[in-house]
Amino acid sequence: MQFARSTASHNPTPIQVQSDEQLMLAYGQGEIQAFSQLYAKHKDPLWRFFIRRGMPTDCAEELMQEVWQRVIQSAAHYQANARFTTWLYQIARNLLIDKHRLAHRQFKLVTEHFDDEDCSANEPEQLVQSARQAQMLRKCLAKLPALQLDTFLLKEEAGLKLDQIAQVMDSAVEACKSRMRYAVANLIACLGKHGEKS
Amino acid sequence: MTVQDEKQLTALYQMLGKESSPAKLDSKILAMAEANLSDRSDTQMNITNRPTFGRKWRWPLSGLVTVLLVSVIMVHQYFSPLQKIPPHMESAQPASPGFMQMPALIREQDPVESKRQRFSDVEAEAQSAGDVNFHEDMHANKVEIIQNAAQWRIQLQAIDKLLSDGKTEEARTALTKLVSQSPSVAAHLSDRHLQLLDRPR
Repeated sequence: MQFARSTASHNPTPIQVQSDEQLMLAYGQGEIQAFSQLYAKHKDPLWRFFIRRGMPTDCAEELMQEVWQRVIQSAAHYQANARFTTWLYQIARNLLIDKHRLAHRQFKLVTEHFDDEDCSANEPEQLVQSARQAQMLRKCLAKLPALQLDTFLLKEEAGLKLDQIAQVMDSAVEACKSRMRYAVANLIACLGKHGEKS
Repeated sequence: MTVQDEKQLTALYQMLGKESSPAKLDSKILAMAEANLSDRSDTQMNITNRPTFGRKWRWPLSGLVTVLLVSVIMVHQYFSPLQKIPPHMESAQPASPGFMQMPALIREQDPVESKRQRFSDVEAEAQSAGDVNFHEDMHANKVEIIQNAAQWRIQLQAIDKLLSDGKTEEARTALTKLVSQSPSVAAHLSDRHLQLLDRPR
């Protein structure tokens, strides 16, 4: 769980190690500090979830605000029945779907010419290769079908397991498993294809 | 596709830039959270300050209960069959409000009970009259005893004075007269008086 580790290091010195659910309950009882802690933990992964879903920045900002507004409004009546992260991404995804439905978003197509300007010629070849691959991955992600992309991002950014992803996406675990398999296959194929080209 | 591929992809994904949400957005959302808290506390305060049903209706309800209670007591007294009016008051009963007339009406409805009650009333009155006479006699006796005692004291003082003046014969005569008139004075005589009575002339 890559994200979980990275977020743990993001929060430098938490006064008291509390679960997300405990923090949410504490905020519900009036502790603003708990909300700050919770927000600091989840804001960047959620932001990247929107951005990597191909949302323009202004749209992502709007969605972020809406998601957290719902969290804030629900705080007084919040009950820790489910995992907070699952609930948070459920809200985020529902809002995203509504937004897409309104905008009739079309997935961006991967451009055939990769932008190599970011890669410095002085860096070691392996590092340059990795950076190039990461850049390619970004473009390949944009090519993925929405459901496969959601499954992949929920795993990588939110650190959710397949059963939790299924809960967020309101679908069967097997379906999510299958989507994940297709997402990985498509990304590898995309990366291989572009690797050969470069 | 293998697990190895998935791990490689994950590693590659982590190499992507870690974009952060704009600081402006962060402060906006945190301010929103704070505002929500203060709104909630204000609402809570309003709820606690709002007069409750009990507080709002306290005085009207207590007034109503008082009126009801007084009415119940009055009605109870008005219709109470235990209300007794002595016969001598009954004759003097004016055409007054129903408050005093009502028991009489009840007695009229039950003549046997009425007679029995009257008899017991008369008996009680006689009893109470006898008691008053007895107490009056007792009182008169007490007054007489006190008056006699005062008289004896005066006469005994006079006898004492005669004795101190050396008029022993006169003192004896007076004492003998007093004892013969009121034998009960003998219980109050001093040794000196008794010696005077015992001493031969």
